[in-house]
Amino acid sequence: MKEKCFALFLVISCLAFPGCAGVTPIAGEKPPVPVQTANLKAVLQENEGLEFVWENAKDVRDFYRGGVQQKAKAEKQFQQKAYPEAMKFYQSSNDFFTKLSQYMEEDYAEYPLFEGTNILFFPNLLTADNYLKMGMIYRETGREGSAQSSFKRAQTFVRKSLQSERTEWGLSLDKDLSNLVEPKK
Amino acid sequence: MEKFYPQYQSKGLIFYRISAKETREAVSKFMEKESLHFPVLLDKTGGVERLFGVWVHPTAYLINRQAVVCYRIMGVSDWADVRITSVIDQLLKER
Repeated sequence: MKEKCFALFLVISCLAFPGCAGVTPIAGEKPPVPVQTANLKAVLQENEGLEFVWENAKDVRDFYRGGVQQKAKAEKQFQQKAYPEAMKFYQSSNDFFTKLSQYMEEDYAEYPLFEGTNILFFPNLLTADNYLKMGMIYRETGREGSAQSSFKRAQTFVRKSLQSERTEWGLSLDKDLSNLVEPKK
Repeated sequence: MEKFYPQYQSKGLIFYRISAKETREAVSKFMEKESLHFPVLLDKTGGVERLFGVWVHPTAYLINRQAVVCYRIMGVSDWADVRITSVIDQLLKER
């Protein structure tokens, strides 16, 4: 009788615990930063204003601001399908972020600028988005090989971003890129 | 700055201090306490600070007659320093 009870308990345990696994959040894992908080539009708005040119950038914050401002220009051109101009600005934006990455490698949803003021700080995610758009331009202009390498680079940067800050924005980009990157043959 | 400003005001330099996210009362109190007299603009929402990309307090911007931001000085500075006065003199000479 005791053995039957134990077996029954074991069966119930095996059925119950996997069922709970999806309900109980894993300890320490925060929900991703919502897209209402961290998104491209918000980042671009935060960095509107006095323009930073390469020669005047002195600090990581300057390079970040410069990179975002170049991206804002690229986005405008991209929407108007002015692809050569867009490519130029995406590349310039990535130049700023590459320089920045020599000093800072992580993304932050709340990067403290100074006491009481935080900004969205997503150099990796923005680089990924730049490569994604560049890939789309390559694809549009019939250069599938270049498109694929651009998508793959984008994927690397998205994953780097997600490692430091999980955002719905990043997860969505990662999903889009998974559909765009062709599996290895 | 308080000593430096009157000397350059007569040469055509216009100086504004911008106070971000502070109340008028707090700014007045500070000005009174420190015996400061130059004009202060209130940036209540921090919008001006954001547009200039300020990330160090204080940050000074030198703007020329064509309204172009020419120099940025970050942190507390000695305004009588020749490196600053020579830049200001140069900007004042421009027409």
